Amino acid sequence: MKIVREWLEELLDVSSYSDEEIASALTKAGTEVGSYAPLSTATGIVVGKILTCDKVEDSDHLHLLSVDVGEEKPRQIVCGAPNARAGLVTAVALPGAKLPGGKTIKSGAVHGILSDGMCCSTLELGLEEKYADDCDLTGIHEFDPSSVKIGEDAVKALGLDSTVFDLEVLSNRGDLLSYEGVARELSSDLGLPYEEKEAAAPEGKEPLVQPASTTEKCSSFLLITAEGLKNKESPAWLRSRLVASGIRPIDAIVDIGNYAMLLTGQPLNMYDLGALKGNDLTAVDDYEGKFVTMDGKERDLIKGDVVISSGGVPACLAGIMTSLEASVGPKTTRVAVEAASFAGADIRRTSLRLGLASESSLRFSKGIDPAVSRRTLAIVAALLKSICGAADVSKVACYGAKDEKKVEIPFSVERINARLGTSFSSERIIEALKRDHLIVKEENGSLVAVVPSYRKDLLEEADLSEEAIRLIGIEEIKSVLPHTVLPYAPGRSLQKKKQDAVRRYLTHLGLDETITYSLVSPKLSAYEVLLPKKEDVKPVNPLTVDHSIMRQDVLPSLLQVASYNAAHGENDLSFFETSKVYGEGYSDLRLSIVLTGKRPGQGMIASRDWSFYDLKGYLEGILFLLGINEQRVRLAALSDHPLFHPGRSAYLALGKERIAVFGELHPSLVRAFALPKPALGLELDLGALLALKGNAAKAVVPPSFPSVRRDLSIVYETEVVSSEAVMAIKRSSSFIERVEPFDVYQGEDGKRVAYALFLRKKDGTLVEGEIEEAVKKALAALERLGGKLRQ
Amino acid sequence: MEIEEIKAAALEELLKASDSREVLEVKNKYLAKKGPFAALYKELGKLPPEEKGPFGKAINDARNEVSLALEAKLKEALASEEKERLLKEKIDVTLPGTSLAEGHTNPFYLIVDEIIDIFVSMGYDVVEGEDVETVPYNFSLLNIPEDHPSRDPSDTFYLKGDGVLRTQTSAAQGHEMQRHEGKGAIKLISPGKCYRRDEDDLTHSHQFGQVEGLVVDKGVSLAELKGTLEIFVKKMFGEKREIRFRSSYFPFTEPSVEVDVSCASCGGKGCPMCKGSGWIEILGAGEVHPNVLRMNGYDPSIYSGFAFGVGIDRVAILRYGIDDIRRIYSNDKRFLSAFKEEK
Repeated sequence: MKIVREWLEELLDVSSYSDEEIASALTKAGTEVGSYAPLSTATGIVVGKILTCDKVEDSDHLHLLSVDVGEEKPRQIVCGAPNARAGLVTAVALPGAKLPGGKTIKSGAVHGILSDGMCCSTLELGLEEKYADDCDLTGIHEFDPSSVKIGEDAVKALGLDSTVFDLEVLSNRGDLLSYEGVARELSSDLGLPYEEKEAAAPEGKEPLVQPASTTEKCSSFLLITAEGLKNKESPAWLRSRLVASGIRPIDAIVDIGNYAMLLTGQPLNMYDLGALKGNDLTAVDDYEGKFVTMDGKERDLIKGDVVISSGGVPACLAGIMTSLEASVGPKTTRVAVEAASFAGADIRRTSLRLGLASESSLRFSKGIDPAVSRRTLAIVAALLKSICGAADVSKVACYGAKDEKKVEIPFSVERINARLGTSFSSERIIEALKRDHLIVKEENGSLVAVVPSYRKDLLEEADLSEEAIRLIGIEEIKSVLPHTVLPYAPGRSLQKKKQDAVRRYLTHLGLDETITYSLVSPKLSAYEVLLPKKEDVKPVNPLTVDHSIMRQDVLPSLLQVASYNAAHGENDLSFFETSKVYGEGYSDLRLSIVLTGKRPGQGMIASRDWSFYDLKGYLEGILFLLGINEQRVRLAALSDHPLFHPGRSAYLALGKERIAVFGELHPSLVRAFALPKPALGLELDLGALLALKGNAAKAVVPPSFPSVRRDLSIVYETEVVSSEAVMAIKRSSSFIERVEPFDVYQGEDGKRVAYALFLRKKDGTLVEGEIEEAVKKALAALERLGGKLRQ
Repeated sequence: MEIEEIKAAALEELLKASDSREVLEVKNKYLAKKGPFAALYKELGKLPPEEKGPFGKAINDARNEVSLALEAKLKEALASEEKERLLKEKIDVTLPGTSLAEGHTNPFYLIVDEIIDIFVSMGYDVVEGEDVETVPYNFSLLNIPEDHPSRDPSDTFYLKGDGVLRTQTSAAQGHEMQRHEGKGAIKLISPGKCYRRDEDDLTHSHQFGQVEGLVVDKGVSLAELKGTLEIFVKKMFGEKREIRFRSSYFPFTEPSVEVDVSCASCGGKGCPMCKGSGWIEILGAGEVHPNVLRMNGYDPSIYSGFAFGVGIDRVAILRYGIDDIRRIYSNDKRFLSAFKEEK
């Protein structure tokens, strides 16, 4: 809501308050003032009259003007505006004048001729194009010579000098969508007296049409009719007030309606009486069919939309827009003026469905105060007489208007203080409520606040506590800390702590943590990574296809991130993300990792390609971190997953459940995402791991006897997986405590693996014979698998 | 005497020895089993008993003197040789170390983690809700009227049935109050992802993060909310920042306030960052609306509470001077490189 100070001052005497004080008072009390500035910040602009206008030789558009700006002698100005002519009264920027863009006007030569100033349009003075006249759009401003004095401040004469406050009205304060509402609110904020201006209701004959309603969505419908009108351009003062308030002037009749709406908040609708089909205006909600609004567009109306019809023909989409046919135009001489009250929710619904909003629908949506309908019509009647010369204005005809019972809220000062955590005196709280224009009375020994009809947001005591504190000032509350102390507050849950530990672990290892969108495209969603896809969770009203399905795997999002980075020249990548994923009826906490290109070098250690074992190492690290030992999970090769390299990928299972898939990505996927090579990925059901109880720590007595290491280098002719060989060695002798493969060579002639065997006896030092015996047994076990001691 | 000559010769040779090898040669020559001192001991056996004593002592003294001198010289030589060897092993200490570089954390998490730490230190529990919510928990149980604009399908992602992608972490309020069955104190924060049907642009994102805070107990007042948020804002944005409370409106709180913090880039004088006002809006809060308590099983005549909601992305944008909210979700490595956990 835009409020121009000049108009506001007519309703409330704020002459002793600066713009800043007004903005700050409104803001603190809940109506944030986004900005405040005059419509035009131009200085040094005066009203001037063109005395002579001659074409400049050698130019197709320039004129040499002699302009009277109220000084002793006229000024010589070169001007290119097509509408420059002798006798025109316009705005003149004198040398030294400053324009809103920061431009300063100087005397200087134009086309070789001295120009001592510049003639301006309102656009040059800072007005938005939508508010400009035709002459301002193409040339210089044209004043009505009778309304201005030569030499006076042109910005002032245009009404562009007064400060405009841009208010962000809260959605429960529809009453502030009017000048009277804002004046009243400001009077509460500043503690000033405020009185509503009376307006005498017209006392003519019965109106030419009668209001009626067949729907309860219209609770009241008041109207007047007026005849003998002359529609024309509105006077400058009215136009400038509308412009300053953000409404484009159209013609006098429409402008008067908008002006009165801005003043009281009651939306009005103007009908050309000549276009109405009957002698009624009836609110109905059962119309169905085409309807052409005054902007010339055809709309499809459905049952439930509130329509005002006349003689059974729709004339207005209630509270939103008049029909093209019934709207007023230059030739209109007779009008009907509607001031009705419609159910906000219904108006809003229709407005949303049609994508058609207006100043009127905005006000109905937020709720209007029917108590002002009659007075608003009186204001309109007076303006129609004074501006359009209306000869006959009817009295007000009325359907359904009745005095609403005022809301009364019993309250206690103690309870309000308790809610606020304050100890204000009852006088102070009552004073604030009175300042807020509530009536406070005592009934049977307890206090009752009577709420004015326009404050539809005040319903119970808690609301009064807000009114009290916003007017007393939140700064008056003495801060304290909550007295509530939980007996046991572990903060983050155990699972969240473990999740955070995993995140930190991966970050410490050098991986970057990402956050990607949960809503993904059907293309991304189609990749099935960890589990067979369940039914998708997807919005019925997505905004774009790119964000239309809740993801069931995180890896595809990370592939997209890697792809994006690769496209920006970064090939050596390592990203991870933990995120919930959703399918119909389930949610999982997932961890996903993507590695591409090279593993970064460490100081002087050269970088090298990421390998399967890097990724496996991270997974093992996570299991170790969470205290889950190898025996509790099962790892095996993954040979048939379409997204992974069939020979370089694996899965991890917990019981029968597959909880992770990882490895080198399939070349087709690498190509699809244009990923740097090699590219590896992991998708882990982290939630399943976090739910496991970690192995409890238990003290051990350090072994008393030393351990002995023996190495075995084995050549294989058959295919033997490492885990199988290690297991065979371990089982071959009770002295073998630990086995580590430490050198692997895979060549044309077979595979060579070197194993380190760590042997120990619990109850004594191993002697050479025992060691030899154990190593022999290990060798025999490996020979059974097809291995031979390397010679 | 012969003894004195042998000693003098040994000491002289020792004096000439220039390194540990030569010292050892001297040692071998004089103190070995077949060396000159050994020969003297053999002669000792041939002497008459009364001469054995003085002669033996003379040999021992001489041998000891030589032996001590040898050991001293050997130690000195070894030390100087080691020093020389170590100097030859010198390396360039200015070459880079072989540390493992730490990864980077998306600023979104830096902010959530910090907010969690601040409130955990004030005794709050952390409760994570679900992104997929229902209309009652996201709206109705928060006293959001049927025709409230936030419920519009143009603003909220609806799922089939009464499902909805949560538009605010306040959805946790209903779940937690109901879990407590209308009894006892609640003091929690609930961080998480939220979704609104906004076109992604410089300042809007269809996905964003929030941290909800909720305290319910007997006698929880606006003054306690004010004290809490003052601490939070100072910890989050710095002790020097000014805080302003403005009256506001949310359907689920009454009274409602909005909290502004003085603009860091201009210090409150007004700049493009704060749109000239000197203040930047950072969170909304208020006393829990009696209807919310009532609908979720708490008796508002006994219990009261406060709630607040902080936008994670917004705080990140302000804190780190991020120019475009979409950068957070782009995960551009060059962007992420600027962020790591502050220690």
